Amino acid sequence: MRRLVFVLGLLALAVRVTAAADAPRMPKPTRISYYYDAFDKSLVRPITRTTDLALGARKLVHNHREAANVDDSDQVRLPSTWWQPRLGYRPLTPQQMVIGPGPGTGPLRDRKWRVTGVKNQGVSLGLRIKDSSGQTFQLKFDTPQWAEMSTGADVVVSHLIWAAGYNAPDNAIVNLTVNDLELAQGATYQDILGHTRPITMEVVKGILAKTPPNADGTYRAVASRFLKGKPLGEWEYSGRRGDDPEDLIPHQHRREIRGFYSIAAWVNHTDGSARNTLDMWVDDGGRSFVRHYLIDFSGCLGSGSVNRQLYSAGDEYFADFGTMLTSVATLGLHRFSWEYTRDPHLPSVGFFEASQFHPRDWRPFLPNPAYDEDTERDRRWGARIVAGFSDEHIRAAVALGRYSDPRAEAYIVQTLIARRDKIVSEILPERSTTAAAP
Amino acid sequence: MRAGTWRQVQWALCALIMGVVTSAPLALADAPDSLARSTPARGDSTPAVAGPDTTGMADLAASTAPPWVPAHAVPARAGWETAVQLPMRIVSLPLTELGLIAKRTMVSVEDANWIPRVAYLITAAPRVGVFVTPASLGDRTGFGFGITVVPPGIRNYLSADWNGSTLDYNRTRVTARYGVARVDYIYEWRPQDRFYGLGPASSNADTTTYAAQSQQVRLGLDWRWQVPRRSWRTELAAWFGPRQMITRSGRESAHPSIEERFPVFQPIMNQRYEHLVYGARAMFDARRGVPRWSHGGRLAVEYERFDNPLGFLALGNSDVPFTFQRLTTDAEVGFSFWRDPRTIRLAVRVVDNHPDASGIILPADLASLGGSRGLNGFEPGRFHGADLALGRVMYLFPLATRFELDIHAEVGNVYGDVWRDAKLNGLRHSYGVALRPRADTFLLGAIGVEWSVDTVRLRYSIGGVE
Repeated sequence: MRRLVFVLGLLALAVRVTAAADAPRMPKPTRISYYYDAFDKSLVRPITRTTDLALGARKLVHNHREAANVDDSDQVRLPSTWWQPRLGYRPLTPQQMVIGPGPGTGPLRDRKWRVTGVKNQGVSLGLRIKDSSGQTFQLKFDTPQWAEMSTGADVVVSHLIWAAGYNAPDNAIVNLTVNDLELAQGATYQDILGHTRPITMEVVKGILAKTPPNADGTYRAVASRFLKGKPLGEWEYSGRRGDDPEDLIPHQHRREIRGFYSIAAWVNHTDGSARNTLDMWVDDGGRSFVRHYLIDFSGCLGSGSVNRQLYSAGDEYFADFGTMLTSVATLGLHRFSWEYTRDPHLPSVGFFEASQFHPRDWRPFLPNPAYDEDTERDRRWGARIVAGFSDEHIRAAVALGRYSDPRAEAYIVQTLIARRDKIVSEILPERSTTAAAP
Repeated sequence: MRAGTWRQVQWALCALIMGVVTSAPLALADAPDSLARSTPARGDSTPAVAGPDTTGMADLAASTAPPWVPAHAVPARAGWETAVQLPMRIVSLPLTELGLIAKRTMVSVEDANWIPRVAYLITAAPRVGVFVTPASLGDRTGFGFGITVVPPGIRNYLSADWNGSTLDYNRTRVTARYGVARVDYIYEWRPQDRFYGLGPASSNADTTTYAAQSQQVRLGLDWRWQVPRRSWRTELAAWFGPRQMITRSGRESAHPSIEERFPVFQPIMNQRYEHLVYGARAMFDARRGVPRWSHGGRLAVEYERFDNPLGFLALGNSDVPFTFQRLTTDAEVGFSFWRDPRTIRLAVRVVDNHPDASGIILPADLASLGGSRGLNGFEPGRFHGADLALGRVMYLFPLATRFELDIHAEVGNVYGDVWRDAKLNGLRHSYGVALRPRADTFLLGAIGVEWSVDTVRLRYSIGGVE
């Protein structure tokens, strides 16, 4: 009997050892510095690109490097952990888009939500909660001056981005009062000075007091479902994650990342830097791997997250040397296109418009290494996805923003439609209609 | 080895082999359906999506299948690109290393939450009542900082500040307020201000320095009016109080002291002069615009008399051999065009000092030009005289959303009597250009160059540009 137990034990150990040797190892979590990233993208990168002889030579002879992960039909090689063919490639109904990464309903409301974490410093405030199923959500709020703006943008764009094929979190608008919340046992938070403090209802009420209330006294938030898996930190728009065996193509040479330019331009995703990306180590479909997400769309459409977008957002980089050179050469007498724009003066919209939107000249806040490398084929790939969005898709997505002002909803729908049409007419001129099958 | 032990080893080996064999089917059993159906080979060029798929949400979900990957890692640059860029990479290697160090440092700084912490401490300053700011001691005073203390609870009534710099300049001010009334005590030590001679014909060859030490008590009244929803405001102020001033030898070793090159100042050196200073100021300010004013104008007139001190108000020695009065007029106007305003500004400043019959005015009380007082392209204090006239034209235009450029020209000079001596053909000229980073509602600073026939000066400031 002892011998049998011994043998069975060894057998189990052997199975474990063999399986562990085969299992992929989780890559090391990484961290980037947002400030260094801004410095690098704004100053170092423009200088190195300007002095890059090879790049100059490529430009001179119009021999740009094409994406490395496309097939003979110029399509992304699949499967991919970055992108999944959806609109523009497969039929996807507005109803399916509304479900998105699913289920799109926010936290369960059968019991009070347990507050497990808070962010009560700085300008963007939030609560971390668990619903009765144990699912964790991050609740993010608007700033008082721009009620509904950033929460609306976050929800609307997350569904559009998911429908475009990218991995995005499940976001939904929720309304709550302090009575919907209870404190999790022993929940603590770190204050700005690094001291660990217990979360009290006063802390929670303090956060709610800083957010704009709805007309009925409730507070509006975007509930962002925590992604499955273990976070590995941001992925960057250039380079590779060296310890991920499935990440063998420099990100700036991936079609789905280069081609994201057309989609980002459409939804005015100006803050599309690494800070709004996330790699997750997931156990899904019987294997462990890195899935690449785009997160936090509160800086899209007319929202600059805590403030409205600048009038020049989408027109110039934070430090735009080309624009500066033009200004110096003309002594400031060159008038930029954003100076002709009209502000809709709708607080829940912020600043977002289509009349001066030029799809080929759109620029994010910081230069993006993948967009810098993109070619006409990459832009057309992304434009084809944008063209896949019908007016019904756009209306359905914007309705998810649950704007209290119908003018805001109508304005965003109208602007997204107009921007989509501009992208199609300028980048896919041969397409006479939008939302057509490829 | 005993036979029993050997048998156990045999069993163990057998079990290990069996484990390896049985684990393979188990692993396959865990594999996703997609993998079981078709596992794309590395480098396989067949697109996985052949046509429209109208099935439900499951097909729209993120794929769990192993992704297509090339046979080998794709290099970021082609071979010839790397070769072409090699010399530049070698040259820039030190910068790359610096960048990596900066990157790691910033990650540590952000991980430790230092940036929000510092921001928090700055925003908490009003509650604590202590502010640290760059020094405001004027040009050529070295690097420095200022500390302002506004005690919580009595912040509307009492404040104190101290500014000091690496060149030993310092100033202390304590202010008590009640309603429109205020009392100030000010002590200032300026060890190496420059003096080049009196009048418009002064020369760089005559560079000297002097030190000025002063203390002053000032009782004043301040009225400010602003009509609600109007952009203009009016200010009236009046003050009086004793002031002591001592002129001492300059502390800058590279240049002689003022009395060595200009013996006319010998009698006043190290003498404690006290005046009763009283004056009034009226200002109408209709400037408006953010992040810097772009429309409107400002007119300010100030009269100040430096008179014999009153015995009961004197700080010390009440013997004064001279008195004088000063009239200062400032006017500026600006207008702009387009959404991100391109602004043109015009400014005029006239200072008119009237000494008594003795004709004495201390060097520190003379009207002066050069540096930030006007004619920026000249060294601070380059021109001293009883009076001055200064004109300035400035054109400000945006370079990009966060930067603007300031191009300006100044003309002016010092005179014995500005109304009698000022002539267009005797004006000095100075030119400048400055890059100014800006936030939504204020200017962050400025950096630029100023030039004149004398010299070229680099100019910078952190905050407090306008």
